[in-house]
Amino acid sequence: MKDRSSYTPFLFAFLSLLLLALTVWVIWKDEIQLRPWKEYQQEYKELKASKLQSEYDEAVTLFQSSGDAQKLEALKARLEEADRIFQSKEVQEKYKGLAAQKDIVEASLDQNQKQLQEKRGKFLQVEYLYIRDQREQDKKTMQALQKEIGGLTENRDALLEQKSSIGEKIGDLTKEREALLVEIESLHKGLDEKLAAIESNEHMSEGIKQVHISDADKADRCITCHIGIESTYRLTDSQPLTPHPARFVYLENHPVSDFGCTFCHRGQGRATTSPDKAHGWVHHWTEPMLEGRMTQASCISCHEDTEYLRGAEFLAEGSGLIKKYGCYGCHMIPGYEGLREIGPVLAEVGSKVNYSWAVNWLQDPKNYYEAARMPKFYFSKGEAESIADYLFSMTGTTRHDTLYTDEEIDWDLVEKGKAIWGQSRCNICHVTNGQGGAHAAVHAPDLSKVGSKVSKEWLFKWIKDPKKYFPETKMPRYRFSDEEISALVEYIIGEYQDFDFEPDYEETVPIKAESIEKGKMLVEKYGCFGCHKLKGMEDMQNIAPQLLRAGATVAGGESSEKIGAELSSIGSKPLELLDFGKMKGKIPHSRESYVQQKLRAPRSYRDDLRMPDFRFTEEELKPLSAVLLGFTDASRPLRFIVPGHTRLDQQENEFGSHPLAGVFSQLAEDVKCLNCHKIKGHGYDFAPDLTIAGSKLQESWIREFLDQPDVIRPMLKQMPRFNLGKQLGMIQGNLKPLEIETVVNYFRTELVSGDIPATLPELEEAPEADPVELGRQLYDEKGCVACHQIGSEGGTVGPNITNVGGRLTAGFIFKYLEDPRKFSSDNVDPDYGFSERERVYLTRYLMSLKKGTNNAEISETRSEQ
Amino acid sequence: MGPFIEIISRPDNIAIVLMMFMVAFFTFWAFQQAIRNDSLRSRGEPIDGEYDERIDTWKPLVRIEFIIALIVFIGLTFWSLVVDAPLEELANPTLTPNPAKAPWYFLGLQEMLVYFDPWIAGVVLPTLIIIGLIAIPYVDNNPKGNGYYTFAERKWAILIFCFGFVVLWILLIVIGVFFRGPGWLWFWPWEVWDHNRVVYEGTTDLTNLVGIDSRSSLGFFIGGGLVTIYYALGMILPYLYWKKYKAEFLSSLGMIPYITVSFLFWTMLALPVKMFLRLVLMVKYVLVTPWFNI
Repeated sequence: MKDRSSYTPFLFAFLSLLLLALTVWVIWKDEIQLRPWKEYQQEYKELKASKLQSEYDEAVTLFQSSGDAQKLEALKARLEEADRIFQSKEVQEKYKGLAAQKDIVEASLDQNQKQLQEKRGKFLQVEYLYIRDQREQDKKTMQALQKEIGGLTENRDALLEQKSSIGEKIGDLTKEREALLVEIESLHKGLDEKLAAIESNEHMSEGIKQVHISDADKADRCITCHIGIESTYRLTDSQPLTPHPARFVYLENHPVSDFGCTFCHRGQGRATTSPDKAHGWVHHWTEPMLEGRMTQASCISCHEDTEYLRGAEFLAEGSGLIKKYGCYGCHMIPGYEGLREIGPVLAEVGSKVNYSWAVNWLQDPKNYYEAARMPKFYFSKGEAESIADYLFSMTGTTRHDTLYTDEEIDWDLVEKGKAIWGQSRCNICHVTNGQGGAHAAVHAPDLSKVGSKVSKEWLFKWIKDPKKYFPETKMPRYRFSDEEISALVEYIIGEYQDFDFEPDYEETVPIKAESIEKGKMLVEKYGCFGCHKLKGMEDMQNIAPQLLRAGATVAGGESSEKIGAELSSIGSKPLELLDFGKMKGKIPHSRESYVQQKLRAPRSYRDDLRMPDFRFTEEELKPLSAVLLGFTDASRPLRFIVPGHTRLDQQENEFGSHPLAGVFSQLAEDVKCLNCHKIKGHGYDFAPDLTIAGSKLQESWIREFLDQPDVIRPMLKQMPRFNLGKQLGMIQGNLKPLEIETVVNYFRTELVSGDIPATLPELEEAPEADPVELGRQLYDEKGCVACHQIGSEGGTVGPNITNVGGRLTAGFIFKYLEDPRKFSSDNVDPDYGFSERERVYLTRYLMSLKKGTNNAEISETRSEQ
Repeated sequence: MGPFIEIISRPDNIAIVLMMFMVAFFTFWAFQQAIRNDSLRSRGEPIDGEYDERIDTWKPLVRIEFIIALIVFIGLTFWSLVVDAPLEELANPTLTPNPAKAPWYFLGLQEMLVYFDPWIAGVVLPTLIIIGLIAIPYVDNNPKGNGYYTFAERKWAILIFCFGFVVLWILLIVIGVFFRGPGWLWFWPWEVWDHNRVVYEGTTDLTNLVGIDSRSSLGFFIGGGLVTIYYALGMILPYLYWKKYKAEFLSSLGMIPYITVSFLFWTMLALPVKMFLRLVLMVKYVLVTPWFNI
């Protein structure tokens, strides 16, 4: 064995130094490197300190300048004076004497208390013995003790009285001084509080702060760095110290202490060692943080209705798009079940459209018009022809085009048709040559080139009774005469021709059987029946993957069991289960980019995918992907869940059935009232809500309006004429003289609100002048004229109220003035806080505004002047 | 090479890389010493450790141990400072990670699952390994090589151990760590570990190759026969050979230890044999029974 001891001391020393260095490193890493939040907390503290200091300084200046300082000085001088008096020999002697007296009384009270306790204790003991043994002797003792207790109690009361009278006397001596002290303190209170705030900020403890939500299994330490997230102070605009944006929507309703942060934002709430880790931007954290508008994806976790949810506008946009493009036709999505197919019925399409048009449309719907909702399936011309052959074979045996360009035009008829077109306000829903389509939510087709698409025969039948062809259509049935329809058809076909249209089949060509078979296979493969009703394919299943989420159930059918497997919830599907295929390495490897790329170019991952291309814009991709990312399997506590009204309603009435009843419901279905109006939560927001129309509107006005819709809305929002009344030459067969009565009756009986009084309340004191005149003064005073028009005078923000007295009921106006937002949260009328008296005057005035009456004329003449 | 560098530099794999070098280094060192000793011995010179040379515990031994302890302590502290614990995703009971790998020291066993059925690879073979290790002192009747390195005096023992430990055990671990990716598919170092990769490997049972259903009685007997012949020949032929040349160790070993050693040895060799069958001939099983498969 060689002796190696000669160099061991050096080796030992070297290793010791190395160990020392490592120890220092350990401390540095643990205390500084792994605690980046320390710096943020210190910065926040400094920012807050300077803010508080400046507030304090400001308050001090204000204190000086407002005269409070002088007041304080005066008070202090008075206090000194009071002190001097109090300290004077005479007063002091009196005070000390009283205090000594008080001491004596208090000592006697103590004594008295002790005796009372003793006697009562003895009494209870004897009482117990007496109840047990029933001895007379005990009873006597009890009586004696009772007497003693009585004496002691009297004595005590006397002493207490004595004590309070002494106290009063002492109070007389010190009263002024104490009052002054209170006054000084209250004067100084604001400043003291500010000083205390500065003090407490200085002593703010540094450390990791955590919110623990036990039932959601969350422990979020985000507030360790985002320390000012709930603060109302906006100390800085930069992260992480800035407060939460729009806190009145988000944090007010979801306080951090109840919800934590990661419940909505995701990310790794427990990590505190680096921002990247905390935000979940690290490899193995499967839920990276959602930022900005994408965070709204999390709203779906708890809110079943997000359509009108404040703060979830981005999400509502996304679910609007799902409804618009009918994603639920192919994908099963909870919350969207049972909705109608978005495409028209194709049963008789062969008698409706030109063959060449159909082939062109199938190849790319946007060839026909830009806003087409149908996606592009990348069919070749041959495939498109096969599908068209299949569809045409349902009504005939030939490929055929019908054109009207060479026909003689009956100009009189066209002119008449044009008048009907205008009167019927077709342009409210339908776009022609880039105009109209104000009511976009019903997705009426663009008619600019319809003349080259459909046949006159079909168009005639369609206008006459749209539901016969397409039972679920949104198109109302106008009660035109056959003559009127002919005119309208002539106008539409003649006016809206596509001059680039090249028909290939003006000579009919028979359809080949193989082609029909091939077309049918294509229809089945690509699931056309998801959006279009097709004969013989009613029971076909959804062809695309389900987009489910935890706890969500799909109503109806066999799949009503709960689906919890995360494989179906795209928002939390593990990244490695997403097949990036050809796009691997070309797009970021994240769930968000996967979903967006799928929507952007659905077939880019592999060659044989079937999802068609909707040509979503980047602005559409994002909200859609937010909705999809919201479909997660994350569990949430029951207390968070906000049930959806739509779903509850759907469960109550079978979907598609009306919220309305009786004869009125048939009528409303016929002319599609709910396409524009909302009644009891059903229908659209395009026209006024009619839920309480019976209380709101005067009967005579309803009658008149239905007869001849008046101009109370701007052009293209006006109500079309449905020819309900008799004056306008109703169609013979459809003539229903009672229809207006039906509407009016329904309004009067069903669409009423108990909140709205039938008459105005009686005022206790008689008005000092004509209430109408007083109302008019108020109207001028409050500047109502800025928004409302009477005659031609006034602004156009609010409705024209020239005829308001002929239209609305007094009760409604009275109630509306009390709280305009009661009836619709979107009303912009300011809340003036009118008194009842004022409201009565205003209502009286408004009720006096009637067409052709003096008041209206007066205002008109006024405006003329 | 990008993917390979990424794989070997993963925090989990640093220990395996270290282990590879250490095993190679110590094997090399031991052989170097052994060869040196053997040549000293052949020249009749004395070698280290052969003679009774004792040293004090205090200080010479404790000093060395203390310094080594310090070095290890410093090394581990440094390592833990520089590399964070390689934690992965939160465990999800409904989702197994892909690849689902055993701890590194069991990766050899996991790799065996590719070649044998779970009952053999997971239960029988590990048990036999342990029994074999326990049996070593009882079947090793060679007293040489105590306290010094030698190769010439223990050729068989050293070769068999090196084959079993370095080639099979360590190599399978290295394969399991560096070459097996998602789906337990084979990835070369230059290939990216693609989760969506699909490989078709159609394997058949041995008897099916010649058209006999392995699940039929005939298939069972042929398969069973092959396995029996493998062991029988493996035990009898060497025995006859050594008997003929009157090998000394055979008589000193005795019959039962010979059978034990021989069985264990051929079982060990069964792994490379089965690997060959599986990888080259795409053979799934030789013998199929209702209870286990070989």
